[in-house]
Amino acid sequence: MAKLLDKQRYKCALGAMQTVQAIDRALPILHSGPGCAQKLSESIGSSGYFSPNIFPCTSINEKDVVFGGVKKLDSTIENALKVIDADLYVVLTGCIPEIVGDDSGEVVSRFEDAPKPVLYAPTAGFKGNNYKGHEQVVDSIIEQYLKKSDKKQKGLVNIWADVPYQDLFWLGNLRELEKLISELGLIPNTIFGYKRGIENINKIPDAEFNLLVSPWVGLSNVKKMERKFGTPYLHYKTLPIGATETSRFLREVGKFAGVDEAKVEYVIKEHEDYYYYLIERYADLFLENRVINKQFTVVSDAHYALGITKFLANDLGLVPAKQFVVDDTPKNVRESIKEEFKKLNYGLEAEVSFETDGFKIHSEIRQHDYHGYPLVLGGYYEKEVTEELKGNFLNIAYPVQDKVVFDNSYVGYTGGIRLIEDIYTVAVSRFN
Amino acid sequence: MSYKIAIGSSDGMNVDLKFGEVSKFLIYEVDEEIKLLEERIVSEEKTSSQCGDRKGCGGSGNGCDGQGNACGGPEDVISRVSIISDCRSVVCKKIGFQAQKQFEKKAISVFDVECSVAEALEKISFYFGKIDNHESLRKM
Amino acid sequence: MAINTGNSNLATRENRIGSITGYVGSLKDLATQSECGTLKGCSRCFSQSSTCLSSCGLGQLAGIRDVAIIHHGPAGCSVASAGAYYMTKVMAKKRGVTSDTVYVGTDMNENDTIFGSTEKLRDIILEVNKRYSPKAIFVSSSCATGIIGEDIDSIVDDVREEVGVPIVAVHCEGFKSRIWATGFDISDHAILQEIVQPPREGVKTNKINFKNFFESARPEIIEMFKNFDLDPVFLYCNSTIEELSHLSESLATTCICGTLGNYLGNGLEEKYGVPYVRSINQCGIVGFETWLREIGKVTGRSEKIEKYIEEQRAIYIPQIEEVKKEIKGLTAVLGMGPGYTFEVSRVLEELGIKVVWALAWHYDKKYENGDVPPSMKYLLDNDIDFEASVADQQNYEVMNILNKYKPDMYLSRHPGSTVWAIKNGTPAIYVADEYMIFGYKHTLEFANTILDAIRNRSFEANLAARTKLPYTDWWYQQNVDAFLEEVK
Repeated sequence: MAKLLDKQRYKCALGAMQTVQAIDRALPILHSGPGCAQKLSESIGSSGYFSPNIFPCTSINEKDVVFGGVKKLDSTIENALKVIDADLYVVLTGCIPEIVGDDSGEVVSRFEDAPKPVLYAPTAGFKGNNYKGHEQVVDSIIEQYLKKSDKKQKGLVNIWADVPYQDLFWLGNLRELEKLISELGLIPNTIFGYKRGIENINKIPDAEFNLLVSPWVGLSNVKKMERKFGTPYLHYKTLPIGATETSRFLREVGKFAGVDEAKVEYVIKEHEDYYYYLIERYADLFLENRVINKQFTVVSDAHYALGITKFLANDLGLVPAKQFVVDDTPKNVRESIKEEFKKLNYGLEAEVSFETDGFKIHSEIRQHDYHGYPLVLGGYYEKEVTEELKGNFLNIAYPVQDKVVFDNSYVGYTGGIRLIEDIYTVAVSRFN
Repeated sequence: MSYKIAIGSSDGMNVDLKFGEVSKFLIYEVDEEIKLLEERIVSEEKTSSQCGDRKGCGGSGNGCDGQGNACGGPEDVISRVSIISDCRSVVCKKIGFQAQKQFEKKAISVFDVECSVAEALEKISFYFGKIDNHESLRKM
Repeated sequence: MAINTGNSNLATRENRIGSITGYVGSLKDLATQSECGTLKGCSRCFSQSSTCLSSCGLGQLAGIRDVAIIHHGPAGCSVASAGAYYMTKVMAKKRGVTSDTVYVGTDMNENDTIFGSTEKLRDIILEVNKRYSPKAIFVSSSCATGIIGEDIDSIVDDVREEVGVPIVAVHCEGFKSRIWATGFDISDHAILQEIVQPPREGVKTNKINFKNFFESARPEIIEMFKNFDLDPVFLYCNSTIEELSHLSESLATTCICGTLGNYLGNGLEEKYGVPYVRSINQCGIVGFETWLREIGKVTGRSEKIEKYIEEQRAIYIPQIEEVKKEIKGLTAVLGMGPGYTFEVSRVLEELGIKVVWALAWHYDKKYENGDVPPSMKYLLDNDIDFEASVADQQNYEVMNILNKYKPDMYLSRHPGSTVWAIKNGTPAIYVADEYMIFGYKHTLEFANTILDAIRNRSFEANLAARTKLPYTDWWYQQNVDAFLEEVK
């Protein structure tokens, strides 16, 4: 049912055009109103090989509402294939065709013999948000494009993590996860970003297993691949940020993949040594500043809320105040995510609230006793309320206005260091 | 509430005429059911070409003084529009921009489509029926 | 055509004033045909994404201080709320005021498309009113709510008494028009309908309504207008509802962009007799002077204005002439809204730059009062002609033109368009700020910016050498109008 979306943190399912855009040389074709693509994009690395004003669009008008828009969709796909040089075309449908009953799937199926693959992802805005839309796009690739493979490649691991563009750090995060996996002697395979694209998509069915690093987004995808390709999956719920969680992550992946334990420990030790060399040098800053207190709040999707909470608690010894998960998490997975927030050092448990109403979140932040200046990591919306409380604010989640990110990452050992740098850059900008 | 739909069709079966080609509009009435009410004849001299005739603009430029009054569009279009101005909607294979503009001023919906007359009537009456009653166009 | 503020529904720009979004030919042809009423809009069998009218309409309203925008639709429609929040905060801060404007969505889902959600909408309106006590509430529809028959007008009428502040239904069904600028008209319509009050008796003022986007030149315009004893009221960014309610008392209305301002200007003139300053806009020397003189005429301040013009000319004209020597003879292609394309074309001609192709994203054949747009009339009167097309942000057409004409520069005003020119190796100038070419001072800056842009083409060259364009060779061999089909 409709609800008051006050300080909105996500887009609609059609926002998954950004998931398609993140695949090198893949082109979204929109069966939607003329302005949907522009609305659903922002200047966060979106002027790549394709940009939203390149996306072909049927630009639905009133006539199409009454008489259906399938003819227009047909000619738009046909001409997109002629005019635009892509490896993969994904037709995404908006609200109108779904409501008036255009059989878009049928139109797309007419292009089965086209020289390039043309897929269909029903992403009407009212079907869910862009986290669900992202799953839908991956689902379409599995369902309509990929086939079961009998030649499994030893050590090949598909990695699934962030929702591209919704997460500003998606590119850097995926690259860092690849790097970590490689160090274990495994061969990472991801489909988003530079030079991944269709060739990597083609390799998906050959993988030994799927590695899902996410509290809930993508779970339905890896389950589907298990059914269709017989590929097992490892669901690692916490985005590994910093030494504690990254080492745990490497051990778990190593165990699942059957990597020699000594090798895993060697990799971990190398990283931890350098990590703590850096931390040691700056420990005085952590201990002897007048502005960062122990209590913190994260306002973000489940992915970052969980990852950052564990990092700040287990690596830096901070204490979680209430955490807010704002991605409209499906109800059936909320309990299991809540459990994850309870797995902190020294028996600490973080209270977590699944809340999409920003007004309520801000009321709770205002009411909480942070025992000093609050540290708030969240969307741009939290900037003002944190300033009002004289706290320290870092813009890490959608909407992002305070930061430009090319391929920076908060993942792994280096990602942990980057996050500390960002937090203390805010801290040193003031004295007390 | 009943309303009328004007259709450009040569055979009564298909929407196959451009707006400027219609010599008689089929007028349907939509109430509880849809029925053919009458045919409205477009007088002979008005069936000539509807556009591209720039004589009305006056080569001297006097006709086009920027007041916007002198160029209300070719008369032919206006007269064609006026004979069906009591309709809620007009359906032809193609409808030129001038005509669309005139219809819009009179709050008449324009649909330029190629399909059967029956299909056009069904879809348009479905659309208006739903919108008038604030019901969803969602097909279950 | 008469403006009917008794109804919340507004005929789209396409139909109301005869705009078109598909045309290829020469400027003269476009204008002549426009005057004769023979121009036919073409439709496309292939198009790329452009803009939603709700972005323009609600973006304008969200600039007003301490109001609530309730965008009834799926989360994608109201996603503009994130940007609106940012704009509200930074624009108010820059001006040194505060604004508690909120823009919320209703996150409509599948169930709502079947069973409707007007009852829920009512609760949301009341809750927003309780939380923020806005000075006015704008309730907008979306494509989805439009086609599921949501009766937002009735809900708004129902709660009107309870909320106790002006509340208005704003119809923003994106599928109703390909011309997103209709959104500007929609926002003006809402303001005229519910916010503007008849003039108070006995109130005398020297105010002049100044419709702009983001008021970057506000301080200097206030200073300038002091010379004429005029006090500009900038709209709608950082406006208050109180200010807007008195627009009917002003001496005149003027605007920075005809496309943006002409609905409000004509509406105030028609309804309350506030004269609307019709002129080419303030870009360039001729534009600035013509505009000032028109204001002088309308408000009875010609003498003061002539004096000001004389003083300023003495300062700036020699400097502009100096830069002109360096940029004379360059060629340009430009793509902007019709409010700017023809104005900027004029300025480029003034600076001695040759316009080889001008794209207008849409073209209004007649403005609200039935006239041909003043900017177009000026070009015709001065016998300036070049290739022109009307192409609602159709990037593939822009690329085709740049590739064929290889101009020295591409000028654009719309996000996401300049980068494509650069990849083509063409230096691009983003005329984002509406005051970038305003008056003598900014015309001089603009000329210098052009000079700087073409003097160092390193970035363009670096990027063009290393990127591949996304169009097929097949497309470059086609004519620009390959996908236009004529509608008769």
